[in-house]
Amino acid sequence: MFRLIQVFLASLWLVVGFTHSVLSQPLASLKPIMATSNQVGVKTLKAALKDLEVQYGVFFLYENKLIEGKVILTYAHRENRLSKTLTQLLEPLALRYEKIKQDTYAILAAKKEDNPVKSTRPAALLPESAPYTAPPALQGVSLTSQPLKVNVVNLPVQTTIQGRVVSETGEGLPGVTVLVKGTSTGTVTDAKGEYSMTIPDEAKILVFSFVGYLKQEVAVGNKTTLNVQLQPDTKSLDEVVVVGYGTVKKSDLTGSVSKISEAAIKATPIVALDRALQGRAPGVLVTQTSARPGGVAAVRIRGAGSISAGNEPLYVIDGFPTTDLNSINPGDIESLEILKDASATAIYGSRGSNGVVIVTTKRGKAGQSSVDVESYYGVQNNRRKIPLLNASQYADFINEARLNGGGTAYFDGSSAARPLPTALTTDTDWQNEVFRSAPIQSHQITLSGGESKTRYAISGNYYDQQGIVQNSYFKRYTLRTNLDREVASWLKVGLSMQAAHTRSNAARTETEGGANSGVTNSALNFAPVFPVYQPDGRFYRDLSPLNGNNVDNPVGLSSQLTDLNFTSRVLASFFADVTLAKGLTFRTNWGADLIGTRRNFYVTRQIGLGAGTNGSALISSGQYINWLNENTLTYSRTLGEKHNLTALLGYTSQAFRQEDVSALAANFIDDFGQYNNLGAGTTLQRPSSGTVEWAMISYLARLNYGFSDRYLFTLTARQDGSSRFGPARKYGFFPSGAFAWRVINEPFLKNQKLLSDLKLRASYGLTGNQEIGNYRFLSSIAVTASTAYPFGAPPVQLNGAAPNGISNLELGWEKNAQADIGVDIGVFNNRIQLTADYYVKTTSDLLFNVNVPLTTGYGTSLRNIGRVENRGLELGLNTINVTGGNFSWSSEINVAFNRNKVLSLDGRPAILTGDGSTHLNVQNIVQLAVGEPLGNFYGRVVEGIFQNQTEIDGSAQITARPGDFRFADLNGDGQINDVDRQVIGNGYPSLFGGINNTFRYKGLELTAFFQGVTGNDILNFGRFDLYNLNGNNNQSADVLNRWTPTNPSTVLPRATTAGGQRILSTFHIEDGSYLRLKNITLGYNLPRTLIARAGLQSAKVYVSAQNYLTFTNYSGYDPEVSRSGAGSISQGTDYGGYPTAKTLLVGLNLKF
Amino acid sequence: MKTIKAFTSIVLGLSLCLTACRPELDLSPVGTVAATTFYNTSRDAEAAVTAAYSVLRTVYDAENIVTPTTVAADDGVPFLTGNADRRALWSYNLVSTNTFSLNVWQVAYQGIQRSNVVLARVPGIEMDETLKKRYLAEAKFLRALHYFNLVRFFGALPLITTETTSLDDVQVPRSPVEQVYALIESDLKEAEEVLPQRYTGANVGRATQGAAKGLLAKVYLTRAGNVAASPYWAQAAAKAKEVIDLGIYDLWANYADVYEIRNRNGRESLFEVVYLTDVAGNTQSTHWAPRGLPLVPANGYGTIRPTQSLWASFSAQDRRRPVSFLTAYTNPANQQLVTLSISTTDPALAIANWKLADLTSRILGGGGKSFPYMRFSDILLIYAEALSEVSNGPTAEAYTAINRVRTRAGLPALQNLTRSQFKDAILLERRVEFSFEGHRWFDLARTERLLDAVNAETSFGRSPTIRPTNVLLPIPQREVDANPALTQNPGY
Repeated sequence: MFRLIQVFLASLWLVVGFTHSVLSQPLASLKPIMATSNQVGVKTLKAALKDLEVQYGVFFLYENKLIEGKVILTYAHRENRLSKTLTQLLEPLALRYEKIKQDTYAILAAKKEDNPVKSTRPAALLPESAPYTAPPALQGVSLTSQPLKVNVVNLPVQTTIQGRVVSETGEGLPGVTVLVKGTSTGTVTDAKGEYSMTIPDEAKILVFSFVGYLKQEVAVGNKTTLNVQLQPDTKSLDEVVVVGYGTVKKSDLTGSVSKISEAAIKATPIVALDRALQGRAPGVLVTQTSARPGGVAAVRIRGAGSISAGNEPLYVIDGFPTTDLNSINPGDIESLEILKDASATAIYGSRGSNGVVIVTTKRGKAGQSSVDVESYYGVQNNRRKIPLLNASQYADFINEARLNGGGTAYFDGSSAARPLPTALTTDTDWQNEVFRSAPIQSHQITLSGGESKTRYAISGNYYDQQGIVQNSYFKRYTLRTNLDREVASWLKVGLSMQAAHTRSNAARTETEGGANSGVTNSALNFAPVFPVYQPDGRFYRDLSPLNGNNVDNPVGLSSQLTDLNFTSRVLASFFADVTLAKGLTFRTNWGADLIGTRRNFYVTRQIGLGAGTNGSALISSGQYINWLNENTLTYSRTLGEKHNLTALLGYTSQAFRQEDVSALAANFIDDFGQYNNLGAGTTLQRPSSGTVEWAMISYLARLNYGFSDRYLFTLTARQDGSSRFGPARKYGFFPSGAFAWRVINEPFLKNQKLLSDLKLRASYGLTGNQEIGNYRFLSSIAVTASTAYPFGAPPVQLNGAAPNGISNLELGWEKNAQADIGVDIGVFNNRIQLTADYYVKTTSDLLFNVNVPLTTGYGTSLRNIGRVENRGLELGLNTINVTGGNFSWSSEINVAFNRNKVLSLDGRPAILTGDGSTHLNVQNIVQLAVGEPLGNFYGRVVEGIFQNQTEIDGSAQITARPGDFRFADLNGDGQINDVDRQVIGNGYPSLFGGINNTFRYKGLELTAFFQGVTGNDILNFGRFDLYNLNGNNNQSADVLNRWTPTNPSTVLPRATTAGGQRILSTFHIEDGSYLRLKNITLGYNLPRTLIARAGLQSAKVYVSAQNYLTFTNYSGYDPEVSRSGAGSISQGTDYGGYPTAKTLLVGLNLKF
Repeated sequence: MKTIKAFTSIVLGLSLCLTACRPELDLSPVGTVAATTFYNTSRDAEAAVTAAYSVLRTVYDAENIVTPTTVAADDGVPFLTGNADRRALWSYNLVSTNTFSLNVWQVAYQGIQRSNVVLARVPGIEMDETLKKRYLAEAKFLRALHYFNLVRFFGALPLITTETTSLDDVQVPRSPVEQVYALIESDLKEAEEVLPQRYTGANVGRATQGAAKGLLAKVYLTRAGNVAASPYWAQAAAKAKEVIDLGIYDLWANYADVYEIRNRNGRESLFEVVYLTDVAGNTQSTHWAPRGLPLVPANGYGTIRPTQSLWASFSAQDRRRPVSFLTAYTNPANQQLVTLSISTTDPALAIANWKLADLTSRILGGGGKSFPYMRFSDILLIYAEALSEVSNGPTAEAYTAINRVRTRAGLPALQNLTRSQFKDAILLERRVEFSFEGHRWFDLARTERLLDAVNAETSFGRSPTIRPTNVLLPIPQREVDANPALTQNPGY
């Protein structure tokens, strides 16, 4: 009986809650109800939950409508355990909770089974009279002692409507609130996501709402069944955002933080998580430096601030700052948070200046155990082949070049080896010979679940990407276990652990040209008149003038060279959370990252690299030990109703040790043993080994203060000590401050409907950069092959020793000061959300590898000198364009504009530097100049082609011939030399971004993701070969349009062997802008009726295409390229890179 | 109870951390010693001196000295579609960013720094004083060797005589040529006093008294330039005579013996740069071999081929010609005889400089033949030239000296020449005796014959735009950039 009353009252409460939420009843009107004893008071549920958040260090997710207007009794003693407390608190209010991840609980409506609203007689309460009803069974307060003033109005019963509410993946959603619009009539969905209720005749529209999902309104019409799919509200303000050493609600953020959801991470098949950042977050520029399987990317958050030190962000995986993303399974990742401004990054102090990417992997949730199977299989093909001359075109070209150069035709029919161009029998397409269609696949099983005290997530993944260059591949095997356990009410422990093994065979690409060419370079250079094999079956090699660049057989390079790389890794960390007192938690975190690497290299005698040495083998092996300890003390408190305070103190230490060993041997009897038996080599070369270490000790503090949910302050400070710096500058201090004003919570915005969010943010802070090598402040004694000399009769090599550089004991941190102002706006109930940030980031005391005079005996020295500024604007726009019963369309757009400027260098106004090419004899491709941006290419200016002798006579190039380049005589001295150079391009984009569109229609889902950059140039070193017109090698098919007396080209010069190599000029610079349909995916969530029999909760099949559409004018393989890897000086250069693949795949996601 | 447990755990945890997991921040390299704590023992001194010698292996490998002294003179033709900077040396489109100019500068100053380290650190080491003095003298010999190369290529130089240990005061302006020579002279004079005449056992190959004297003779010869009345002629002759009078040097009977690995540091060698086959080798074989030659590691590069005028400088009976050049070879693949030619345009069929090719080497860069820095024939020719200049015409002693060289080569003795005829004969003799040994450009420059010689060598379409200022190379632009105190040589 008592139970019945309880249930009845609880259900009444539920309705009351709805009513209030719908009509925005002021809380105050509910207040003056009861106080039966001095131990018992009244508190709003919202405030009570806030208290619990502080006390237990947890977060609650809820829909305001569910909570608002509800009050509870307070009493002196409460259960120690959060779970019990919550149950006590919520059950009477017909609410329940679900732990959705560590520290985060969702407050939901109670399940339907317990919910008497199910009754076919709906109750509607008049809001004005809605009183407080004491939740029963809390204190034994006599229920009858309180008057119940409930006006129940009977409404005519007309229609019964039923249906099922499913998530974006087609799973049934329990606990969804279903209301008749404009009324308080409603129900909630059951465990299967099904609902049924009667609605009044005049009901036109049903409103479906659920925490974490966008509210949806659906017209009823004549239907009696209304199935609805809800779309996740990825930008919900109640969403929890992980920041350094803690979490905050998105609404409480004071800094600039972008979040990338699991859906976006999984949208494209990627090898590593950094690729998921591409085009997804404003201000984050991701450039794949090599498209090879297992290649890496360069990531720039808000521009490049450093010249010689690292510019990559800090990656923190489940709290562990680490590197080597290729051995982390991106399929385990739940979210990526990108900390951009100083307020967000300063808590990472000396490692924060390039931004921080916080990686959170999936943890088990309490509730039903589930098994997820995710698989895809696809085929990759070369996105683009570079059109080249075929054999007869090539032979004509060679003849013309030799005649123009004063020689005789080569293909003159004088011998079998020199047939006439028309009589050629061999026509090899070398690109076809080395490229292939290659499969890519990934298979993952995730087991997760748990109960309130123990939760687990276990996953296994196999990723296998074969390369589109013969024999190249990357494979990864990972196993992850994340465990959480509540040992006692005051102690929680957890474990995050991933074991990984990767293996790859690297194709020889991204190399120097000429004799050291890799596969792609040689495939472009090697003449089409050469066969793949000699008649005796060996690889055809050529050292004649037809192969002036001395490149090797491309097929030989791709098949005779083995370069296996293995990584075995365990990344594990353990934490314990101890609740010391109300609101005071101590957390300790211990972790280790153990990596073993191995490289096996062998090149056979079949190609030049191994022919001279009769096979050459190398093995190397490394061991990396990185340990971390973090201890933080967090105090959280709400003072009064309005003051929210969270304070954090911490001490962390991290140390790293790396040991490497390598050995080489050459001159093998045969190619059988390869790298497996170095001792079989006749020539054993000097083995080498090395060890480096670094260590850091840090103290950190943060204070968050919020007043009245309107004014939010954050102060952070970190003191870092690093082994990398000189004795005088070991420690650095990095403070920051931020203020945010939640204008939306101001009373003057209460009565408007347009704005749903408005927040202004401002922050300023200092961070640092320590990404230089170890011991760089110290001159130490080098004992190497280049300090040894043979003495004696007979001579014996004697080891020598010499200093390896100039000590700089003053070497210290690179400093980064950043100011950021931002605004977050949401309108139409957050259907349109805009985030805009403007920042100015100044990096000073650059860790700058300064050229010192060679007269010192050394080339460079690392100094703290120079300043670089980045300023820019970032815009992120999320819109829900259409939402309705069956069809929805949402868009995410982000763009960023970054302007980079060098403010000062080492005293000089300009420096010529950059990674040139030894083979092409191109040096100093970049000019670093004060007042100019990083990445300025520097060279001559081609004005056109000399058409006749008259033009030449009047020019500064009197020795030129018609058909030669005409260069601009920039200083007007009548000569063309190195002084006639200027800035001819820039490798950094001025604008970049991405656009994602998601369309859903019933179970169908279509996403189209565009990504692009503009304003950047590419120095295409390949043009030095493909357009050199000097008869050294094969050419681009474009040279069919070269200058001849009868074809007066104004773009391409004449063919001549006397031309030699070209000099860097505007001819080698191309526009690097591109817009790419990075990914388009069509998915289908199978209907539940179909899959239920198989025991499936959900099933999705999809087809997906990557890189099938790219708009660019770039003539190389791909405009997304960086030959120099992640270095900041020579961005935007391309030479012999691994071509980008286009991928078509099918995938299947099953949930049991 | 709970609080006690929690408190205990936190105290334990923290105390564990602040002791056990507090890493050391004062880390220094593992496996290497800091420069400040090295240099304590005689072994350390020896290692420092060894490192100074070691730079020579870079200076005299393949292209560093040989390319400028052949291609920029009249002895070598670069591979015509190869490195543009090498071609620029040949066609005299010389600019300050030329990498050959940079390389010469860079490795020489690296060598100078290594010598300066020895001179700065070794005096403070407690060790055998005689040995210490010898080490210092060796370092001075090497420093003089580098400065001598530099001053001849670049003229006035930043004179660095102390070890660089900080970034202060590194922007040193150029000192006049006179001061550079003063340092070279004083370094060599100390070396000739201290260094022993000979070494035995494990020390063979170090700088000797004879090497210092011989280098000094060459320095004086260079300083005499083209000035008939220069007092340096007499000094050059005197120093060369001192070397001859030591009586420990002689010519090998056969020219070929000079380059045999087994004759390393033999009777004719005053100083040579030693390489070890496939251990610490050079790339001479591969660079100078005809392009694609299947006899050397990585096949031949054909980087530089001899000019027709160099080839023509050898008379048909000159025994040095077959030693100096590869004119035919048997292809091991098909046993066919391939005949090479001096005039063919095909670099695969071009006659090649061959005397430093080590055919026992299997690794690219593993050539083991020494680079002959200074041979006794050089001393004889210096002596003959200087004596003739001092005496206003060749003396009997001068004829004796040059004819020793000629006789070994199977050439008739010279006689009855005027002073200028004798000078011409000496220079021709030097050209063929030392082809590709790094002398030609220096000989032409010091005798002011560079422009004429370059303009006369026009094979393979060479039309050099040489100007009088080209007798000095450009100061590397990188260096001018890094050191504003430097002025560029005129014409660049």
